[in-house]
Amino acid sequence: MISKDQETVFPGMDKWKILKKSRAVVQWISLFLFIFLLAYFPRFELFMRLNPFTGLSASIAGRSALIYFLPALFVLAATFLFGRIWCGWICPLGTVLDSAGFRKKKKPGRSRITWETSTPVKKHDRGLRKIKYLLLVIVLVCALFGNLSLIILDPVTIMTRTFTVSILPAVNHIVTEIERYLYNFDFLHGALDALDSLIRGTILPFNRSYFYQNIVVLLVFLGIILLNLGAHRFWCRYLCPLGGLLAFISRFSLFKRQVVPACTQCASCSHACPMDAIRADKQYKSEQEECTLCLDCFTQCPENSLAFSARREKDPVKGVRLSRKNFLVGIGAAALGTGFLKGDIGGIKPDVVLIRPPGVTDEVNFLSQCIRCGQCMKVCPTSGLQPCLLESGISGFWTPRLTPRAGPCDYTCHLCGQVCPTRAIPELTLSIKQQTRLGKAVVDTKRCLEWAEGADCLICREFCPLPVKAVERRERIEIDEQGKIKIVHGPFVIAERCIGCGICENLCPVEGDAAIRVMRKDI
Amino acid sequence: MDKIDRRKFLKRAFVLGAGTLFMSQGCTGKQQDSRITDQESARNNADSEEKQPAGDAYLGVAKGSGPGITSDPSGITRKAIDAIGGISRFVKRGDDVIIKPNICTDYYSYEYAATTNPFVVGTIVSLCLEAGAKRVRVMDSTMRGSGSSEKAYKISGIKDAVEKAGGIMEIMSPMKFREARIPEGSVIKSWPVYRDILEADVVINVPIPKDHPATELTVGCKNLMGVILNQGKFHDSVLSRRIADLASLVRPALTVVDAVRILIHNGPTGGSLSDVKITNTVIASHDMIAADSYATSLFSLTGNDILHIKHAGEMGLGLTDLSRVSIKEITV
Repeated sequence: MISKDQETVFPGMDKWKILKKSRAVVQWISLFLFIFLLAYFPRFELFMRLNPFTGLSASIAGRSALIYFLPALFVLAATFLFGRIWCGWICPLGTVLDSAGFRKKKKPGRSRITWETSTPVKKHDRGLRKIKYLLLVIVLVCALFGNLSLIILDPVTIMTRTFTVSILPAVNHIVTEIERYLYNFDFLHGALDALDSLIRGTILPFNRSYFYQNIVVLLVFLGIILLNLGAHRFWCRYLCPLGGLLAFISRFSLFKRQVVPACTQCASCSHACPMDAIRADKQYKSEQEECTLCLDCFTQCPENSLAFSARREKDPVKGVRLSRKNFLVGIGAAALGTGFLKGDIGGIKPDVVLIRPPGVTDEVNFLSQCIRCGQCMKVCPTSGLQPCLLESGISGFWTPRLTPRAGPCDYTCHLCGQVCPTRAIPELTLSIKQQTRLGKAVVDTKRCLEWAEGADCLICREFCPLPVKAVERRERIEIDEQGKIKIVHGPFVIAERCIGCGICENLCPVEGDAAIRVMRKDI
Repeated sequence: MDKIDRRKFLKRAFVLGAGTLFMSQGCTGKQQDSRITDQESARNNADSEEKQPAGDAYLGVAKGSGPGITSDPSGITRKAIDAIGGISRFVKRGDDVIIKPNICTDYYSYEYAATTNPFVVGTIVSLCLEAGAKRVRVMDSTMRGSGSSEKAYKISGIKDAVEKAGGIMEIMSPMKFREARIPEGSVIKSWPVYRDILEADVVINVPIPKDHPATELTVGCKNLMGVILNQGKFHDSVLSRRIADLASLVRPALTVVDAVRILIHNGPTGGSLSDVKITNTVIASHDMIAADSYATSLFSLTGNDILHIKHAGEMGLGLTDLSRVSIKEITV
């Protein structure tokens, strides 16, 4: 009798173990694919397209259904079938958070315990789980009002931004600095030259990228990881708005985890569950919304009393839901928030040096279309596109701006418009982009080497890419302190020609801020 | 037995390595000095007429006949170099050669005369390899440094031509610039210069004459600004003197001026074909200053009209007075 049981039990257990292993494999492949695509093929950003949350929010805020996000329907379909399979199997941030466990190691003879029952997080678990829904409601209602500021909380944009602005450049800086140090030793030159020609242009780019706020972006990312100290995948359980959307859909998913009568209520599964989705008080049934399909419970169950089935349950467990009151609070918060943001003068009178990527004309429209993902910053060959701080008010936080001092708009490049998922940056042909005005260069004659010091410089004219240069040398008569008349010369910008690409500002040899700066074109 | 051998080997390797490391650190300053003097002595450049081999012209000028692009740039390049004694006068078997064209931007293709003609560069690569050069590298630092070089190499057409001829395009690594002393410098005494340019057996300068806002014209001397770091900081009220100082340090063995097309307005980056003049000329000389001076005549100027060329002439780096030299002009 027992041996027969074991025969049926063990093959079944193996099936779940294999599936659990494949989950880990899929997760790591997915994470590496994400990084690989971002680093080497940023124009094929699969993960951004798979994201139903940004797709939905951007479509609402931009008032148009975005075909770019069509692949997100696959994720929605998968969720309708199995629940939060995205969270447990695919989400790159989820994989990072899964691997940064901080969980207590399983002790021999004891089941895994996720955290102490007395922690404040555990005490407020039910309430905290509502936050993700609340954030979802707030983001979507804000989107209805045309505001996308909180889209920075989307996990895919978090990953894209962190790797673009912080991690990938840092890898390059670290390797380059080591090389630079080793170049001090003459006998290593041959080897270093060979190494450098091998890795540059293949593994690492030729140029190094520098970003404003790279540390801030990294700290946010590390903060999300550190939240794991409170509870495993704290972010995914409580905060993630994409998780909230998928959790909501999971309520209606076809296949559910079900406990069969063979269950002896041994509690192995609830101890094993990293999401604490299994309810000991409900015969160890799980809250479908909180389950990421990690299958830990299936492999831990000694009785093989779990199954995935489409069978209707008599008494399903009701997970955490937003009450009507909570829902209204969310809508109210969104309405109030966007209302207050409307009062932010930065949104109407942006900073004079706020230059948007080529083709962006209307600041308000831009803010309601940009999902702050950082794809444009990734592809910009000069890393001239940088995350905004407050140049366009709070609502423009982390939207892209051209900072010519960091890098100009490359005359022979029009990549940003090609990768922008929401077309917030319009797709322009190269010849159109080369005629598109981003701003206007203005000379500071008090600091210019030519005007102020009489130098022969005019680098601003030298590298003006236009067929008819927008900078010309002019002469002017000045009277000095002794009353002597002298002729000074220097660059002069012909406003009608200048497209504001900023190569002049970038290459201006004056220390600190350039003596020729691109300013907003409508000023 | 095997294990002990390996340990012994590692021990010796460590001692040797540590020793070398220590030595190289201990006498960095001295070593740098000796390196610079080595480079000075290694310059295989003839400064004056005395070093001129008998029979060959001082300045070789080959022109294509007729209006428009009628002749092939490769043909006149070969003719101009042949007129001054052929490439074998400059490149010996086993030499490590660097060719320095002007690839300052990635804006336009070579037809716009902002960058050196790829066929001229490609031909020189072939000639060097025919003369037995060990390796021929072609490089220039593009406006924004290594980040834009790849694109500029491609758009200029030079990458294609060089690789077809068997040469190597090298992207100038910002890590390979070294502070170099300029003993003859009148206004600058040192500047960071690309290490390989100073260490190569032969450097061939292949500029294109262009209009330039700061120095009026850019030809060979000005083209040398592509081998230094901090080009922006290089500009000041004595830019012309600084360029002449740089020319006293970096002395190409051969200068081949690509005047197939010249840029007469809106230089040095251009962008309009109406600013391009087709002159179908290639000028070759061991004397960069003389070659530059000849090129100024295409703009109806003389070498002494351009300040930095004049300064370089005064420093004895070459001749600006073309009446004193033998010029062999060939029309193809």
